Amino acid sequence: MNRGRRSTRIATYLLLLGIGLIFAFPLYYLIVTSFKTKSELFAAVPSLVPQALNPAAYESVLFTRGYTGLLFNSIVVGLSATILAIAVAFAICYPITRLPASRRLRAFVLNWALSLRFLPPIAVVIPYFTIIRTVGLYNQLPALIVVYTIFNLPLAIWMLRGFLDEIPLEIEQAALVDGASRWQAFRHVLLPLSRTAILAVVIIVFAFDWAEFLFAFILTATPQAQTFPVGVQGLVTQFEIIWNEMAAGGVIAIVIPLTLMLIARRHVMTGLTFGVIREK
Amino acid sequence: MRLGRLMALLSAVALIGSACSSAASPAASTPASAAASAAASAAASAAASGGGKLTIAAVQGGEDAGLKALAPMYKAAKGVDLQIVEAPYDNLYSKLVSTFQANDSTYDLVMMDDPWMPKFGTDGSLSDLGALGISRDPDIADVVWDVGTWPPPRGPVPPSEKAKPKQLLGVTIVGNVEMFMYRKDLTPNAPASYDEVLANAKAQKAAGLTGYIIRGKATNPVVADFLPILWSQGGDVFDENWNTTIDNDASKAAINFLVNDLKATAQSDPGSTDAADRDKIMANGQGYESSVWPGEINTAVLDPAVTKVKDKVAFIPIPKGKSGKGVGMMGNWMLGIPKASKNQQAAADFIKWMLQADTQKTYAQNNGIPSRTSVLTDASLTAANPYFPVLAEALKSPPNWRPRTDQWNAVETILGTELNKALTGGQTGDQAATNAATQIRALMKSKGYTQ
Repeated sequence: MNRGRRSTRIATYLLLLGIGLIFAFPLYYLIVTSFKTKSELFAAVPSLVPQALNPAAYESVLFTRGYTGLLFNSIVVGLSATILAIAVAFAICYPITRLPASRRLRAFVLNWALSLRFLPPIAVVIPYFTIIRTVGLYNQLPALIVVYTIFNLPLAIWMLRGFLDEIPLEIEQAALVDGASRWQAFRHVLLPLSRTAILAVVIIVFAFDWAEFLFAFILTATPQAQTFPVGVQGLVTQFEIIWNEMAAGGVIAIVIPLTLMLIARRHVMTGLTFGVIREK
Repeated sequence: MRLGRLMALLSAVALIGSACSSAASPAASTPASAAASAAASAAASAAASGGGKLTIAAVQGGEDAGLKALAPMYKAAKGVDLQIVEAPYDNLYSKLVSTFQANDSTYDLVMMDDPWMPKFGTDGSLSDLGALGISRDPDIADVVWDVGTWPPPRGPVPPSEKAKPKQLLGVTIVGNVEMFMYRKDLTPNAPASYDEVLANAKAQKAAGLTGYIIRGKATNPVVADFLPILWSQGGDVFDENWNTTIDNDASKAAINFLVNDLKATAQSDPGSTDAADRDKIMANGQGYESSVWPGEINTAVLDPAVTKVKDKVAFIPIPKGKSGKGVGMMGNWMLGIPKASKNQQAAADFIKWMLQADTQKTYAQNNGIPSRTSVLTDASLTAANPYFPVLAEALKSPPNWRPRTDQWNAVETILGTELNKALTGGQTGDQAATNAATQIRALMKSKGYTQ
């Protein structure tokens, strides 16, 4: 019996190890490729280990090609759009979760938000392009901030709403009874209790903003407003694919969201699973 | 509250960053007002008199290497900053289309592949360079000027364009003509005809090499590889009246030559091979021959960092086919000035400076591919660029350009998809010809080219 259980356990571990390797290999190969030289990339048989840890591809991406500016743009757009999305999501979620809103209104708002999420970006990219041009925001970061906010608002609304539903109304009401204004109750009671929710939403929405390509490509024209993904895809040229620099770009692109995810993975998991069991 | 402070800090950083970036943006909003017009005039005059900036949309890759090298020189000579904004081939086209449709003034100069000229010429997106003081130079082959002229000075003209006056809308800055390469260490004599190309390929295949490396990836790549074969074998996509001829006997024979004869000597996966893969096979010494663009030579095939075939590869014009001629294909990259640019004269001044013989020589020394005959035949440049004299010869031949229709992208997609399907075994060469012809005929009819 014990022997059978041990065999099962070993088999399970081996299976998990195999699955882990399958998932980890692309990341490993990305990192390895980023350190290869052009002659290694041209080798008839590709190697799994670079001859040396050559940082030339990183230097080229960050400095020679000047993609640090694009990284800065990505950070600015990602942070701004995330903060805006959370602010607007709070403004929408607060009344439908904390005030006596009708079920119909609540359902309408949530369904409307959901419908925005199901809108394929390609369906609206041309109208957005026209609007952005008309209002004079073409090739400017605020254009991306506005569009990213709109597209990630549904996610923020649905995640926040799940959290806010879990916070008992009585806590806020106690503050009101003690003489706090509605704003003070929100600021000093609800907001601190929503920390986990805010952190989860920040990380997930930022990750989506960080990786967005289509709008960044269409709504920008020069490095003043282009984001990092737009730069990285430019490394596939007509006659050459600059694999090592693309890989270096990929590694750089992964670092920030991955670090955030590792730091706050517990909150993110909570954020993603909150409210999935029951509907309030 | 720590969270509150963190959020406030993040907000401040984001807003400050956004404000800084917006302020730095050269493409600030351009309302059609007197103030904007005055600002535009000031910018144009600043660029013209020195101290201004020209923004150039360029293709990413070896084609703009020389242009990037010239930027600091132009700044030193004229005081004008060149901001080169790169995009990959496909993305550059879509970016230019959307920019022109929006009448956006972000770009002062744009790099264009020559098959894009019909689209931009038909749409009236570009300024007449003749009116800005750019005229023909006898040291540059006529075909280089012709390919930048719209409507086209020879060959079939789209029905909607026949009444338009001819204007120079683009000037070649990358003298790109498709050539042929082969391993001269294996067969000292160059193949003079496609019959010899095939015979040599079969022999080298039997010896363990890839005989003919087919660039067969769907759409543009396979069409670029195929058109010189098609034309040299006597076929064509259209006749002089835009009637589709890709399914006539000569064209069918050319398609079967590619998908049957040459494929039998080719690498194992020709249907997914693009230029980068072809160059890798050639540079590694695993292939014998193929067509080649100048842009592939110094960055891959003969790149000292990677090549194993240094001094073993020769470059020649496209071999003769059954038509009795070897017909190369142009892929010239041109510079044009968008009508919406607010720095028209400054942009034209840059083109003129770039075409000067001394600039062209410096350009060639920095991996640029010039079009000036005296530079292409300059003995001091041929050691580093052994294909330059062949390119000069190919430009004078002259090579063919792809059919001058604004529907070319659609035609190329149809033909390239059907050829790729035949290469990957999904249909026969005859079926590829018939299927492509049916779709192209319907397209050209729907666009008013034929009855």
